[in-house]
Amino acid sequence: MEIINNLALGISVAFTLENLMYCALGVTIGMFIGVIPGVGHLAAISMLLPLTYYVPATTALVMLAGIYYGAQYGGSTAAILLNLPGTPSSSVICLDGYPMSKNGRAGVALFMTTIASFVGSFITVIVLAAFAPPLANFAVAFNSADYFAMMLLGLVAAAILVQGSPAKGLAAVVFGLMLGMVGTDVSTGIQRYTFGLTFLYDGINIVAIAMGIFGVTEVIANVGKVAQIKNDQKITFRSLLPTKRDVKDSVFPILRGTGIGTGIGILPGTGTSIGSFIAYALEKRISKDPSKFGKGAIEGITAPESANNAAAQSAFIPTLTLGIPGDAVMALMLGALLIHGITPGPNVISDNPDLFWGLVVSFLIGNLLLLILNIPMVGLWVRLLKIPYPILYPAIILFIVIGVYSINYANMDIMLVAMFGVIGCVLLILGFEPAPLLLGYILGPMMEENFRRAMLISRGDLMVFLERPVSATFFALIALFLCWSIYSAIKQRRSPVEGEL
Amino acid sequence: MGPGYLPRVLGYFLGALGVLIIAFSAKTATDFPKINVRALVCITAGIVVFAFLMNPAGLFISTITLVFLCGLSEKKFKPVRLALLSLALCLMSYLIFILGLNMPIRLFPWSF
Amino acid sequence: MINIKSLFVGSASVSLIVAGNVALANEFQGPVRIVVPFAPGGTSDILARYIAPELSEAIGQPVIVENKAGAGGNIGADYVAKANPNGHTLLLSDLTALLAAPSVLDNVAYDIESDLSPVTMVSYSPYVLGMSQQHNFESFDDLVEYSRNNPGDIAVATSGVGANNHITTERLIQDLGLDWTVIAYRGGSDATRAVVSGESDMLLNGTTASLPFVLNDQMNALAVTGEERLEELPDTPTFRELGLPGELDGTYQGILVTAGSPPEVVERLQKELADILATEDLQAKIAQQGGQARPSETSAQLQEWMTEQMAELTEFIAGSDIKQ
Repeated sequence: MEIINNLALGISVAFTLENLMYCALGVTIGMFIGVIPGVGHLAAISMLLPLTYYVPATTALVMLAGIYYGAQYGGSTAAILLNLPGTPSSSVICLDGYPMSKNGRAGVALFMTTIASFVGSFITVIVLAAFAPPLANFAVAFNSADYFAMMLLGLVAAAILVQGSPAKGLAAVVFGLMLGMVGTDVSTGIQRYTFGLTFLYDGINIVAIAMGIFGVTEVIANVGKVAQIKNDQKITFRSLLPTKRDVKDSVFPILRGTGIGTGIGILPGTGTSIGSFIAYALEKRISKDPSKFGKGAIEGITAPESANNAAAQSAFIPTLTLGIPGDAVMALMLGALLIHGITPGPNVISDNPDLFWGLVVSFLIGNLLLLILNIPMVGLWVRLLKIPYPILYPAIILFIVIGVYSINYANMDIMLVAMFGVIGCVLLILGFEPAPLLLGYILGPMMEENFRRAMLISRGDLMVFLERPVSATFFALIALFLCWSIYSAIKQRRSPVEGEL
Repeated sequence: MGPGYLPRVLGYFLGALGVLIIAFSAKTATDFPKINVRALVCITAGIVVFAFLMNPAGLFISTITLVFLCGLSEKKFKPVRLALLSLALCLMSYLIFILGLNMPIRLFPWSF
Repeated sequence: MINIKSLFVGSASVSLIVAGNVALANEFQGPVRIVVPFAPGGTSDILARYIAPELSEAIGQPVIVENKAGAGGNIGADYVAKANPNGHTLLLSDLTALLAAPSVLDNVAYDIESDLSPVTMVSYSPYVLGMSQQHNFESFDDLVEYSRNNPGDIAVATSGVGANNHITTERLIQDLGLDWTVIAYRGGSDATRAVVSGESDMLLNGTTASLPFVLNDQMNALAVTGEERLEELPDTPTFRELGLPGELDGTYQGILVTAGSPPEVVERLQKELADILATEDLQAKIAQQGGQARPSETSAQLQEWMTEQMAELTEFIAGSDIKQ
């Protein structure tokens, strides 16, 4: 069978000493980079790109890919332990990961995310191996109208994310949408909200916003408070292990998260963040007890984590099979290929089967390595929490700042972090949540761009959204969600609950 | 539907939400949550100063300044601890960012 | 016995000669930086990384590549424009993007004519006109005929408002008097995706980007810009053959330096770069990217080219729909 041949080829390529070494190197670097808040995989990959010139193409990609999904994993570690997203896509893991940590279940959280990553990766690899070409064609069949419908679904997910007052949550989303408007309008080239400043031409850097609102605000909120986690308990290996209940509760979230991550990841231009947000929202929506989300629900971390990982790996599909990079990181990967004399494009798989399949199998190896590396390290990470906060927080601020600086070497990005730190504090006092804001910021510009483009192409015909099968499906899902939400809201009203608007 | 359409619509929407929130907040008025103003000012100042110092003065000086400014946000100013911490962080950042990641960041005012 | 006086004169002259040589070799006092105003992995970035090690060997100083992406290349250009004018900060970029900027953007923080000086051109890469598989046009004339019969029907994808291929598309529209719907996307890859998926009908883009899709039958190439047909597409005519004006060009990559840099430094740079670009190795690498190495013979030559282009671009853009 085709798959077996391909996987066999991949295994023979991936298990060479050189590739294994570089895989391990990439994954380790990625993980540590991911943990450091602010420094993202983009910075790491672009820094280490020149290192890859002197090794064969497959090895280069294996290492760079390792950094990519390793960083996703590391980002979750920081999110769980410190309430700081190491990468913007880990922001959603802060919501339930940090409360788990405060409950003394940090080890369990870390353990489960490792497992979730691994399982998610495993499933994705099988899917990629079996369905790479059809998936690629599916990805390309997406039209602007379809993208818009999907983003709208994501926006509905944002509404579900909200834990407190719905009106304030909605306001946060809208504010996020507006922040996303800053920059150049793609369709007309006109600058909005840039006040004549060149560095805002491309919009506000997402890392600056995420670090400012989540990271800096978190630090300011915690400075001066007495040590928040009781350090009396001895950290035994036993206490790090998840309970049977945890594992049972996570099986379906992982499966669902992987599905969502794969589905969204293969679409060029979506990035990994959206997948994790939608996975979280889905879990919360279909859970029998939505109120446990935000307080340390295990589904709230395993689903987004597997979605993250799946999205990161699936993003390679359009990049490699079509030569269409989904985002900046993929463009870097393509650049790496170009330098090695491999022209990315539709022929990459057929001309370089060892490259493609070796890479796909290396995903599995890399995740296995992450598993092996991290299980023993969970204890170490949890001990990190014991560092007295007065020593920890200047380090956090420093890394955030250097990390943001490393993206474009622009001082203005650092100023943005400061500004969003202040904004984040204001939001905190007033009871607005940062996660919906971030999601609004990510989705807003894409939604608008795709909507206007769909209108332009259909010459103003709104029915195009219902005519295309994909977008019609998404709209059906949105209608479903809305009905469900209204239904459960009415049900709750019947048994009156204390609440604010 | 030009480029200004959506920002304007969103602006109105946000305004309307704001009015709604104010109207209903009378029912559930609580104490104004406290915020550590000192921390806010010091840390923000630290970050801003870092932004200005980074290019001319280099990483080490900016790091030391940042750590001390952040340290001001605590009630008890402990210069010795901050000094040790800043040295350790300088070393760590050097190892991670300059040696490890090859970032073209200058260390001292006199480096390239 | 050694004449002390002659010894003295001898050593003085030797030290003068040594000092003279040292002074000559030390035009470069420290590391040289090549700023690439686009994200890593793009054409300019790859070119810079090919050139950097060779240049470093030639001048005996480390050469570092720095990416400063944003604002369509203008952030990096601004950075070099305001850098120390000692000739040690270079800019490697798509030239047309920078030349068109003042006419397309509302506020450009630097003045390309007075703040940046040319060193040498690096490469030229022609454009390929690719059609999506939705239409089965056999030739460019078929496309023109269809467009005249169905005004507004053909959707042309561009990499962004004011991008190089947007300008070229507008030129075609004006020259032929056609009614195409121009749709801006976020960069070349996004535009390519749109044409491959059939959302848009047509795309003008560089050979590196479009060739693989043409060869894989996902796009039809109807014409190419430039003077000669492409080796890989022997059946595709050039626009010139089709009787269209010659300004339908491609992308030019070049190296600029901060204005006011010492002329000896700039001259030395130009000479070394010209030599590097003339080597077979680099020519082959550039050809693999779909371009041709085009070193300038003198910096003045590039200056002339840039001034001409800028005047023409400014005039054309002002008279077109590009800026809204």
